[in-house]
Amino acid sequence: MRLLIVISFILLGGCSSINDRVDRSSQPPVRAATPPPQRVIIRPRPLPQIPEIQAPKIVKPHTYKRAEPIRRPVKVKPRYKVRSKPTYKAPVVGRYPSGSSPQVTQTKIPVIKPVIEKKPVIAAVPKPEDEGLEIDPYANIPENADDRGTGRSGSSPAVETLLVRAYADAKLGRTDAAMSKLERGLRIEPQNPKLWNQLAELHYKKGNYQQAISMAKKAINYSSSDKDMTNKNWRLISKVAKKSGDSRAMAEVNEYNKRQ
Amino acid sequence: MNSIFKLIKVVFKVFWRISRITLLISIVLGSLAAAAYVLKLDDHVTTQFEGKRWALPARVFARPLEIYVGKGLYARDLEKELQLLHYRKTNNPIDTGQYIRNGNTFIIHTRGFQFADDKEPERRIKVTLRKGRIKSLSHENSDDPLTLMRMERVLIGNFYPSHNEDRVLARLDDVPSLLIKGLVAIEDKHFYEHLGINPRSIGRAMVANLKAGHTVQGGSTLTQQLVKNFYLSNERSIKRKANEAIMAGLLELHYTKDEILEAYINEIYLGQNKKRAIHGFGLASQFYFNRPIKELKPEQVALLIGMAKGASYYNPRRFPKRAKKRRDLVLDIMAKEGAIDLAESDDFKQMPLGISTYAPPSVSPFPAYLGLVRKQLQRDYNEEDLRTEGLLIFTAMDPIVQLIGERVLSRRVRLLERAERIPRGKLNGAMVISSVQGGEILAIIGGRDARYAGYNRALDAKRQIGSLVKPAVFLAALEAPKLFNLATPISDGPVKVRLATRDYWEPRNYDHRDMGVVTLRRALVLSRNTPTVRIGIKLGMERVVEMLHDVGIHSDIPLYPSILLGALELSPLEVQQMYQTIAAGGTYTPLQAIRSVMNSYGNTLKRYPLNIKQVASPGSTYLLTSVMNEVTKTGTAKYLSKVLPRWKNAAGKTGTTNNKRDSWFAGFTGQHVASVWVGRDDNKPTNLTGGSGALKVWADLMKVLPTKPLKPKRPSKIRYVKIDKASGLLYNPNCGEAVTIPFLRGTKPRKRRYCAPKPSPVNPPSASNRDAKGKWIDNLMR
Repeated sequence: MRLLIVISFILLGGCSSINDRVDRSSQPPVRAATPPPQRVIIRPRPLPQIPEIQAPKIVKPHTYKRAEPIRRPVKVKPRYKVRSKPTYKAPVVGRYPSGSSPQVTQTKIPVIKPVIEKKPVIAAVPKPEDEGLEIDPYANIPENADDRGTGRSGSSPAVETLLVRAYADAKLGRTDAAMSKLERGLRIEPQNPKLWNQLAELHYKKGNYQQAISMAKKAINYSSSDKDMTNKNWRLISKVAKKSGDSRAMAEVNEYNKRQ
Repeated sequence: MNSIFKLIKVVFKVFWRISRITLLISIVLGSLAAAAYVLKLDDHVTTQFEGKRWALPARVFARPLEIYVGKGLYARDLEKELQLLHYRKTNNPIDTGQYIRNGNTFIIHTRGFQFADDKEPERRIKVTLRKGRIKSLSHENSDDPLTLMRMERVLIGNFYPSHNEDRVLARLDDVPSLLIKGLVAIEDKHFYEHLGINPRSIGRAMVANLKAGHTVQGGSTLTQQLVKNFYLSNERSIKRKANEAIMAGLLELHYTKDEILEAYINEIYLGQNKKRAIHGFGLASQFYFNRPIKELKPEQVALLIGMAKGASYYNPRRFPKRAKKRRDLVLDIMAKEGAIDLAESDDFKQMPLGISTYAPPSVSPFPAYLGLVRKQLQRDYNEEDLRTEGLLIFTAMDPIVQLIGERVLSRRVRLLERAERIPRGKLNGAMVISSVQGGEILAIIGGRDARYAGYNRALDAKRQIGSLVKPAVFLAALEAPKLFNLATPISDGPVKVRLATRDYWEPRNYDHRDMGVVTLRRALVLSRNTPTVRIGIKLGMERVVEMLHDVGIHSDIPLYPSILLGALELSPLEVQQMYQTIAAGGTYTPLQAIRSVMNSYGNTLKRYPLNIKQVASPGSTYLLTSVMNEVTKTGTAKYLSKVLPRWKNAAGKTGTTNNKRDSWFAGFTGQHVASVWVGRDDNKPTNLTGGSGALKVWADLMKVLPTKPLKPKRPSKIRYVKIDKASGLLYNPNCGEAVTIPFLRGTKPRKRRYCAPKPSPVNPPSASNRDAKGKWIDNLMR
């Protein structure tokens, strides 16, 4: 009888140890259908943001000498040897190995100088304001087989949609999502200044000052006729330059302001 | 007698006592051991179930196809994309993953997708195409405006775990309820009632097996089957059976029925594809029916459930009759258990198996691109994580561009090989195509046989680049506006560079001719060698090499002057980087294949955002681009202006190396940058120049690729000036030929060409009489 009690006692003890486990774990299931996001197991190893162009390892061949002396044949004792009659005033002079190139003739060379250089030019210095035409020969190339070459301006509806959505994302603080949308827009219209400008603003917000400046410059480059857009981007550059202490960008801003 | 009896009684008592104590101790120890064992099993069950359950392969996806009005897209390419996504052509696309094509009009019921906060709902859309462009886009069943949307991403490859188990995780929500009902009906009717083991069914199975004399029926519950597959080896022993029962009980204690069912659905083995084991219903539905699990039809569900009993025995591709019999049996049972209607089950039984004829390839059809992805990922992740963490890798790969590129390259290389009488199979090629602004690699073709996962020439073949280097030299020159502009006259005569005492380098022009004095522009358009050397020497090799590094060539470049003519060994990918920088208006963006990486739970681990760095001014890049554009019109690549429609404006440069070993062309339109190399792996001469070899491949590509014309935006500092074509001086209306070319403000020539007093002393130019006196000026530049 005592034995039975003892046995049952032990068994109960054994069971209770299992029940403990059961009790502990019969609470809400530990593993939800979608595990919590923090269980990210791997992390990307840190990577430098842009692979900066490494300073080139220049292997200087000990045999090669800089060609400067060769370039200045006047006065300085010529380092090269002129094998044939003196031909050009070209910095580096030589000739093809004999026989390999029978076509090369130099008969006409003496004629060159008298006509082009010695003869006086008709209009020596044109009026200073005449700097050339502000034409754009590429503007009239049709966009596609259907297009009649009418230069379309402004964003397409697709890009407009993305701009609006990106704007909303940015307002909600979802910078990465906004940037994704702008990049999506750039795949559609790579030369749209609004997209570049927005992207520059977001990079500024994130503290990527170098990117912000580069992208604002892109926007300026693509908004040649749009004065508002140009000014807006210069203002952004000036803001970024002040914040990041970029003196070179600041100098460019000042130069632009002076011209205005 | 009495004493003997007493003695026996005592002895017996002693023995009884001893044995009682031993028994007691052994029971104590035994139950302690049992408890410890159960606890150990319990630990085993929970840790493995809660940790990373399976080693999941990483999946690599292409870009999602953007659809918006105005996008360049041909109907055949859209259909190809739909086929890659395993959409089915029907008469009435009411379900997701179906489409209807009526000439150039498509009605598509898209599946939609969601990754993190990036959501694209399922839709029924109507797309009309015209002349290679999307003309209209709208919802098919509502009037809500639709300006842009995306298709799903095409899966282009996987990185499998080393044991080659493959599965596509299915969430219980995605699994058709019929599959769950059917599975319970067939495998374990009392699944929702029992506690892991079902003694009744074990008993029934034992009776049946004893009667038959061998195993005919299994009494295992779904839980037991899961335990068997998930935790235990395949041996048959009493011990394993006992373990299985205990662990099944433990599993039931810890987890809900749904969790167990979900694990079962993903664990079950359902087939074999060469070395790859097909696990789970999610992958099986793709493997056998080419459709996601959500889109399975009832008879297909029944077949898969039937296969759970023995995937190789009921393999529907090898034993269709056997599989159909099994499916019909499953359908009968499902009808009996009320999972489907009895009347319906007869209809389903009439249906064919509907297995896709060919198993999807276990290796990626795009090995070259996958190689590039792996290369980029290895910088950020270790190999083990790549193969087991179920990473979702979103790339920029464009299957449409990739397929066009593959087709074009292999066809043209075959033609060239025949034309040049090169032994069959000896000539090969490689191509890289990227987008102009983002620097995203859209396609990479590593050889003629694009399906062959071997030597990837686009990444690994380092060959001399010849004249392809010239744009970098000229860009360096134009970056020095005080020294050079497009009209700067430069001698085309012989040149000799002293390398050391009595060591000279005497490069020649390709045609061994001398054109006299040419403008800088003309020198590049006609790819003249000696002017390039003069420019390079004047700038200094340091400056040229610096520019080469700036535009994105990261390998070591020695300071030899021969670099100026391309004595530099680069892979097509490196060449691509250089032209990418020029195409993007002088901004360097590292070429990249990957847009972002997510873990298997749909959280973004890493985004690779657009990064730009201005390395050359927009002005000088614009000047260079205008010259490279001229190359395709009147220069070494004028073949392009003949074969491309006028609106497909492009810019580029040919390249040929010594003895015509390598034929190169690299160039860009307004949307795509592409570099092509054609040559032989054994580096023997091919008799192909850049213009007669690689250029043809490039032209073939641009002929069929929907692209945008090159339309560089003129920076505000650029002005156009009419100059004299021959002399590079300002144009004089009295004589000569005018050409209007761009200059950086303030750098245009100040002198005007002199005209001889007589109105017409000079005859029209002629190409051959270059030695005739008095015609020198026309011979100077043509």
